[in-house]
Amino acid sequence: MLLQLVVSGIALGALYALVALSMTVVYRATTVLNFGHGDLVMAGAFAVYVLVLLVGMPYGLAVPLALVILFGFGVGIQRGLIRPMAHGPHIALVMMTIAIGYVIRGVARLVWGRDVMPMRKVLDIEPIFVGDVVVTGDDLMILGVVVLLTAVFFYVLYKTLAGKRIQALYQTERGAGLVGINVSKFHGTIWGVGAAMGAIGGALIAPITLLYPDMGANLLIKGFAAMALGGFGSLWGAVIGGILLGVIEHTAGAYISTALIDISAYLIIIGVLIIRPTGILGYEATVRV
Amino acid sequence: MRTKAGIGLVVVALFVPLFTNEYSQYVVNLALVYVLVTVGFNIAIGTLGQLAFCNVALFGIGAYTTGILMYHFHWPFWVALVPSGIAGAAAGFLASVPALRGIRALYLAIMTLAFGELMRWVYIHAETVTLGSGGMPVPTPTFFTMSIHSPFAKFYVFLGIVVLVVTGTSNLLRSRIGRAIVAIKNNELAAASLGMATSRYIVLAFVWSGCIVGIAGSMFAILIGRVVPESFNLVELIQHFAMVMVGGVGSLAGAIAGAITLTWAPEMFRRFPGYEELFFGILLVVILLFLPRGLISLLTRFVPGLAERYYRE
Amino acid sequence: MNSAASLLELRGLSVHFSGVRALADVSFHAHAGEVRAVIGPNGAGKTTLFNAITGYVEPTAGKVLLRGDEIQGLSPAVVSRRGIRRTFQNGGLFGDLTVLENVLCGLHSRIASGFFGLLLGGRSAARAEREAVAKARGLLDLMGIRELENRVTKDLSAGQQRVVEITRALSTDAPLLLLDEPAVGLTPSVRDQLVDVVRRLAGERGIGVLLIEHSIDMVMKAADVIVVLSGGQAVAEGKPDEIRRNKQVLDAYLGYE
Repeated sequence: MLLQLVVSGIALGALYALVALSMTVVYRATTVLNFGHGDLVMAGAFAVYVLVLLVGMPYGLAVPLALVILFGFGVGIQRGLIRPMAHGPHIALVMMTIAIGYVIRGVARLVWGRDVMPMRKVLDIEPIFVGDVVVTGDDLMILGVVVLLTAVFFYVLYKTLAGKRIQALYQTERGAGLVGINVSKFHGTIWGVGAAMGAIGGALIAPITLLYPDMGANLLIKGFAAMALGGFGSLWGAVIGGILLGVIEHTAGAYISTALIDISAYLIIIGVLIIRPTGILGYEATVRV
Repeated sequence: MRTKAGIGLVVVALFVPLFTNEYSQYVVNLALVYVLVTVGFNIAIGTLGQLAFCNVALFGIGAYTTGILMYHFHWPFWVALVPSGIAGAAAGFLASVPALRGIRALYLAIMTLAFGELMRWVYIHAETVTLGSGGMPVPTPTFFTMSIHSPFAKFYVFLGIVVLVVTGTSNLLRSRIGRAIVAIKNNELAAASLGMATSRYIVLAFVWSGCIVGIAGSMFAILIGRVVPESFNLVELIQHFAMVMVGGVGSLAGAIAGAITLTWAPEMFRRFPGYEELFFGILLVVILLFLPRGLISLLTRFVPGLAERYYRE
Repeated sequence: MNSAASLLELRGLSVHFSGVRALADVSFHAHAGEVRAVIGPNGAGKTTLFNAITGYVEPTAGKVLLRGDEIQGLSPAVVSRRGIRRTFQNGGLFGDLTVLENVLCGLHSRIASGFFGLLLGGRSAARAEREAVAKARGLLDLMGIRELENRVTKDLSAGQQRVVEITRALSTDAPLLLLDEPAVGLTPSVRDQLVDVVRRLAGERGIGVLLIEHSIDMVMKAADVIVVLSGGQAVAEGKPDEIRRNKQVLDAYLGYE
């Protein structure tokens, strides 16, 4: 029983991890916490939905195409809407990210109204039994993709020149500018990467939770909770925090009360920030506001 | 000059019901509620500059306090209004605790956001008190034997409350207290070096903000006639935040302008079914891009008298 | 020296930050009307000394006495109200407020008006505010910056900002003023004006001044007494001439310049 809950919790948590990681990537590089990120994830899910179910593409083609679209979308948002406000007060940037999310949701609402749409499974296979533990195709798919993606992400970050640049940017923006990195251009790219990573999350979660224009808000809160749990601004913290959040939701829901599934994210945010604001990894972020 | 302008504005407002029908009067009343919501919210995020995103929680706590006292205990609205303000103030105090303990900026934003969502969960699940997700009916308020049912009657009640609260708030913000709060926003360490009890002023700002928003919640309860958990969701929070930002964060007159504008605009968008959210989002984006200091920066250009004592763009 | 006559006395003041010794057993007396400079290399503990005196950092050991009363461990606001005012290395002005409003903030705790009087916009509250404004204007006149009173401070030059910050610190006639590197970023001529201001405060108004300063030139011109900190310890104390000749000081500090 417990093992089953942990396994399915890890699969769900891997999704949260992906959402949290994609928010952290942008936050660390640009100090902008994207309150509209949940809606970007939703946009990614809908892009895949359109390409698969309406255009009729196979998943193998639709997902990479959705990634490219969302990458461009992220870059465009940074160029057109975030960059002009970079020198204003931080609170206006917070509002801008929310407003962008609102517009994205508005477009989805315009097309799909309040409908809830089912999404075809990516990996439609019979559940696998490992002893007493059931692993569904969705679980396998999510775990596989998230592990692969995280591995690629950290490989790029630690082993390639582009990653070194991102790290330089994380350390100090001015310093990065001094050694010849085009900071402004890089911010655009990072927004693109964040949006694309979020889109994968959206594509993976849609078959499980169904697809609807308002799905972003919930994911945003889970992303925040994962970030808080792992240490706000820490990349590894986002991954670990996300997985832990998934496991906590499932086990607390089963052993204590099902009501806890809905609110464990809120309780975690409040609890962690009161007891240990640096998260379980003890990450000390420098926040510039 | 300012006092005269204010009195003139109120006198003009007294005649508003001559030009409205039941529905448009309801919208005007809603705008009055949002004036208080925004004035209160602005004290915390504008004047004090703390990202406390629990405004909807304060609003909901005020509304539910009135709902519970009127529905379960049959208190008159006049009496329920006071504990609603106090409940909002108490919730504001609660929100100031993490801020005092050094949880600031985005940390505070996310924590208070979670608090608001948690409260909504409480409204839904504390069924014996709140009657759950279907909501709780709020009886029609009465004044002695006269029933205050029509939106026109409510308007005068609301106008009276709004004038009192806004005048008091304006006095406070223009006083040494308002000056101290702006000083603390600019440089808390330096403020302490001048003998200011910084923690006390941070708490005061949160409590005052909560009290106003709680009163607004109480008015909202009798305006709608029903308190429903879904009235206090994230979208509502975005509306509050947008009103402050569109008006001009930190400015009292801006808060009023923002509340009126963003109550009125969605009513206009209703003519385009399906497009409401999209238009609202686009409106926000456009104002942020082209008027980053809000409507007040435009208004003060034409009416220099609107400039406020400790509000600087 | 006689401790009864001293304005501020430090007795074995020590501050440790999680094992790191920032200030070790510092003792001295500061007097009214005296400009006492605190010098030392970066990391010597100068700002920590100020923070410990003014309540921003709690001393690990030792005592701070203001006119014989122990004040260590009190909060910054209380220390300020007891009569110690300070400025900040990175500037402590309220950028959104004007020069006059900044000085009024300095008078904050002297303006007698309560919450409800202010809420209702009462007459006595208005009178208290008018009196404070008159007093603030008097100070601006004294410092020769009256014409700046309606300028928002973030728009002022670095030199003007320093003078405003000192004016604000002076506003309650606090007997002891702590200036943390007031000459940073100033041109030599503005720096000389600042020396005049500091000398006048001590000479004419009898204010005791503690001055942290990197510019040896300014220290030699402004100070009556110099205390040299190194590695958190007071390694020397004396008149400017004596310090200039002190071998230990040359090793600890001047050699690095």
